[in-house]
Amino acid sequence: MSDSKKPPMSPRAKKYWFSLIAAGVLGLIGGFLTYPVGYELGRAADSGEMPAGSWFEAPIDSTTAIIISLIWGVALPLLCILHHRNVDEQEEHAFLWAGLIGWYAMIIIAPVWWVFAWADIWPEAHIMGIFIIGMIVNAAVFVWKKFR
Amino acid sequence: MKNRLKVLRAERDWSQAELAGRLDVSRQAVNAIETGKYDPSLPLAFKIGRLFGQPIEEIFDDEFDGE
Repeated sequence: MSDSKKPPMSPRAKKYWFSLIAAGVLGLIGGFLTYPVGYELGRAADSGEMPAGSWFEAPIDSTTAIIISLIWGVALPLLCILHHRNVDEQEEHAFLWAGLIGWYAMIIIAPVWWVFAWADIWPEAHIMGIFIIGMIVNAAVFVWKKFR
Repeated sequence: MKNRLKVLRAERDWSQAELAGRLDVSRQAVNAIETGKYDPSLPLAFKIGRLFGQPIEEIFDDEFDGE
């Protein structure tokens, strides 16, 4: 028995892909907006005005900051709602595990880093550093649960 | 949980992507179910049963031996 006609993309799948592509486009816009900040940082580091690697201390104008915040704080949550209403159950399962383990990564690392900094073993806890670690753990668990 | 999804799919000469389209899930979801890495919800299991015209217990085996 063979019936190999592939059904057309469902409304759910269309919304799913729209949310992913829209998030990608917004990410590109955010990347283009932050590019001058990175460029200025590189120039300042090359000229010795600023030590290399101090990305989060680089200057950024308020308009760029507001646009990036609107992308991350308003558009992204709306796209996330659309996305999560339209993912299939296996992907939602992966998201739940990734969210849980990413959360644990942050709540374990943050106090450890903080107490080490308190004892002058490590430098002051860096909030964006902890955020990035949480994001990396989240992404790794998601990819493992969805694609393994 | 063991299941006969891969066999049933092969009998119809469907790819994972084709079956995924018919169930309105991703290809990765079909692969995860076939390899036993993900157990579908009851609604999805019923949908699979309806698609193949078989009861759930004919497709999925929870390996319960009655004890």
